[in-house]
Amino acid sequence: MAYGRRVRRRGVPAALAAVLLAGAAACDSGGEPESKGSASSSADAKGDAPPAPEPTPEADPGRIPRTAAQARRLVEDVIAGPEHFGPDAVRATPYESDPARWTVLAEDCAWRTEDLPDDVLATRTRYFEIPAADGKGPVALSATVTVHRTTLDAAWEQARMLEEAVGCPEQTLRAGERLTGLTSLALARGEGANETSDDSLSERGECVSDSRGGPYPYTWDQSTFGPVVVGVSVCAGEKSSPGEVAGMSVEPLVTMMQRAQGAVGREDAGGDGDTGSAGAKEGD
Amino acid sequence: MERLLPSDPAHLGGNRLLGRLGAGGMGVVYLARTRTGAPAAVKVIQPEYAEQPEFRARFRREAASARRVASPWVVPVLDADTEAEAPWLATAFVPGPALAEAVAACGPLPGHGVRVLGKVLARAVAAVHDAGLVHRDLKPGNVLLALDGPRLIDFGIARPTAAEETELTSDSMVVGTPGFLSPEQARAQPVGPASDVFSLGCVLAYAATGRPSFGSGAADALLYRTVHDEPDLDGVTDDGLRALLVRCLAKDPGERPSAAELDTALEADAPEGGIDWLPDAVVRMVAERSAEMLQLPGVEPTEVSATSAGDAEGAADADTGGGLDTTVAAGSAGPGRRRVLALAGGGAVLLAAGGGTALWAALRDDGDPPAEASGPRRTLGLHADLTGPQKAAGAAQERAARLAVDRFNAREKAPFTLELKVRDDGGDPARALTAARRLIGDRDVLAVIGPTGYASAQASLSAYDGAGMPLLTVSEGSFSAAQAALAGEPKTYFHTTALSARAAFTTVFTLLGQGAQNVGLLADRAGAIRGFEHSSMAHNAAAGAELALYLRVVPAAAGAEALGPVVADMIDHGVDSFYYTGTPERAAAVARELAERGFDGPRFLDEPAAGGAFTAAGGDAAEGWQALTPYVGADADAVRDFAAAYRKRFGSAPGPWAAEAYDVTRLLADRLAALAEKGRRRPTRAALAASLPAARFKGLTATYRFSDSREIEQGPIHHFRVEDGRFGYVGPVALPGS
Repeated sequence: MAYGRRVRRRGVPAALAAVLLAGAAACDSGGEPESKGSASSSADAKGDAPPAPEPTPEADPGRIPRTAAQARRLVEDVIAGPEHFGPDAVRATPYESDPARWTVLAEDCAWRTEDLPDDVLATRTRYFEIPAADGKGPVALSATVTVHRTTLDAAWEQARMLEEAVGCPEQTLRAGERLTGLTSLALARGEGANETSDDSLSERGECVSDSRGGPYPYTWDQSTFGPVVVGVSVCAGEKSSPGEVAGMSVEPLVTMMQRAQGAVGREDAGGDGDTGSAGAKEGD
Repeated sequence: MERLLPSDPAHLGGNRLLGRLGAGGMGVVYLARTRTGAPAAVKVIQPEYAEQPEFRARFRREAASARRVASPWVVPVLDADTEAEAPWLATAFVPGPALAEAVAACGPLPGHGVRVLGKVLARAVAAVHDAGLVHRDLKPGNVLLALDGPRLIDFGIARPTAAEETELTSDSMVVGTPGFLSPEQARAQPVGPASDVFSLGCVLAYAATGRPSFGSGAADALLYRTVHDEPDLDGVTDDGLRALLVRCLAKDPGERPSAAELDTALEADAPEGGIDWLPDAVVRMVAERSAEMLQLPGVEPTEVSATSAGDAEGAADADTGGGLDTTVAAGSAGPGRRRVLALAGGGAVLLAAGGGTALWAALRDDGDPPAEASGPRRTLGLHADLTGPQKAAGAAQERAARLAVDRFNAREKAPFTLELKVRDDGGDPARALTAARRLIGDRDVLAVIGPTGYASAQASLSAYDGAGMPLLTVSEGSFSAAQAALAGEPKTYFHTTALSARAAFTTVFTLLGQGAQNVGLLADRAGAIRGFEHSSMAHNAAAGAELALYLRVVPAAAGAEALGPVVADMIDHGVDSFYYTGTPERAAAVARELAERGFDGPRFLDEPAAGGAFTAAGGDAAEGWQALTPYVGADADAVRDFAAAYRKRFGSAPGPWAAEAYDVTRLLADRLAALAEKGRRRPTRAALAASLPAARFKGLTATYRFSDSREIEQGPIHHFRVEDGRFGYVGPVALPGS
């Protein structure tokens, strides 16, 4: 299993991270949350019978990819393009990652590429940019889709990501580019404001690079649906406001999640809404 | 309503200010009494906005237009001064709840009710349009329910345009409330009357289904869905109504009906001048809230002049014969019997006599509930999981509360009889919401103890908060439930024990004190959000203490067999101590893995994992494991007498949270007794909630003082260690500053 690679925590940052769940959760629910889940669907005002649970989207074991080729096609169908990042976004150079490799965080908190592990059938990252304009610096963006063999494998990827932010709150992306002050939070379906994916992970921090400067606000949002993991990263430029940054990942993430659900979800949206068991059924 | 601040004026343009109803970016809204004694809502604009000449010119035009709005369903403008340094506008005050509160507490309206509401609001909106205004912020919070019908408030006056808003506040670029504003508003484009029709469609869909049509969550996602997605109209079974809503919610403003067309299209026998078309629970809520408001100083109709001649209200009020009735005839005698019938029988009888006038007088005369042979009563609610996953905790709290109630009532000269009404939700969110609504709808219940756990809190908090019901939880000690359930700070939700995250924080320091230098933290996502709070707090604590920590996270979907390799990996990394957050059963599996490898460093569990299932499943491997919890042990000295009484009555030792629930019940009794000394009338929920922050009640387990965020100050944390197969109580943990 791919959780073999681990990173030992090196030393401890002096300042106590002020992030409580309070601060982190607020990023996800800036609007007006209501009572969640089936409690808020049509309840008869006079009766007390609990309302029927809303069907939860689930991955259909018959539709998920079994081979690398099938998975690559799924990735192509799901991954976002520049149009999802707004009218000013363009492809960056390089545009797409090597499909035979993926990035891994090593012991020294630096990212490296490695061959795909056994539990990953396909993965792809696309890089975009919103060029500098109106006194604002350029914004670097990316979209990633990974198709694991099973839902459980995707769940382990989320687990690893949560560990990484704690083990390596400062990370080196590539020469001259770093991430700092990273904190992360994950909410399963039905927790907090997550009603749209099996699991929704947010990483927040800052990005700084020799060429673009910084530190500027950095976000990484990653959601899973069955064995599919979709993620969007935003590294803001000079003078971007945090409000703008938070908004940039919404459309591409929502688009990719909807495409993933359309491609591998159950058509009749039936079932008893228990997505937890889908993973167990598929086994390791 | 909140008290006036020292910086607020006492009078403004002849209006006597009584309190603050709300404050927004542009200024403050006060409750006031006009020169003629009518209650009013006075909106005062901050001078910074008023300095802009375009703003002031627009305000002048809009105030003039507002005076031309002629509809009984729109609050009338009473008075205004558009030339003052801080310009203001006074509209008639409606003491009833907003539609938002009513639906949150009592559920969606039946189909007929939605049609009547729609017809009334369509007329109101049409009247606003006829006067040349656009509302621009139509939402359930701006539809108030008075005894004789709905009222539209806060319409299109002195609302900044998108351009002004960005200049004055650097953040928002969209004006209006996400979830109810139109696609053109979401795109910060110019709006017209059709925008109000879209919002009205959203309001009616909300009233019909209990859900906003474009969901909830982050503002960005809401705006996106408003512009791109189809609205959620599931549950609207009335086909004609649904078709109309679809037209109102068309993305293209040109395709929507006008407000006047909507009025015509909505067929309903609208019994105007009453609210018997609303469900009984809502009518009761309206009546109760209206009565409460009448008890405010300076709002008594008896102080009001008996004639409306010369009032600024104009003809509108005379048509409705309602709103807040300022023409109470001196001799409205003998309403007593009618009132009893009305409140007992529900809405229909209430309004047979044409409107709220008689009921108004009746309510004003007598605030006490019907007298009981046994003297005054005060009722508390208990909302618990008695049959579901947390039934042990729930049942312990129920028993302890009953014990406290019985002991209070057995006192000589008890100032009133305490009563406990219990609702079981089985830990299920849907049932939790139902239980909350039942307790809220029972006007005797003044405060609720509960709920037991996270899921129930997330499901029911918005109903309780919206209804202003004081809710005191003993065992639901998370930060996240309130944040997930509510948009803002909870107003009446009290944590009566230390938040469990504090125990997690303290665990790390306890580990340090036991010699740990490299803590292994196993965060099991089977522990859900509670577990996450604890592991998050733990690694932050370690960072602050400069204590090395190695975190491993295990997915909820992973089977217990995955725990072995994870534990092995942690040991390989040289951890000398262990902290597990998650569930009792999986904790037992971790304990066995550690025992097999001969690990004997300090080992801790978080509070949810420290249950009987851990010791039962862990066997010998569980020995020596420790936990810090917000609840005291049954054999602590401080609760010795309580434990004896509990054992005698219920045949077993008190379980976790029992002693705390006993104390909280006594705390509420103490507050009610203090209020009883001030007056014989039964206090309102608001008064009881307001009396809690002032409490200094010394209970068996703690002294109850609440912080601004309504958490108990210095809530005790307790230390347990497994010995001979059970969690033995070690003692309280010394807290910094205590």
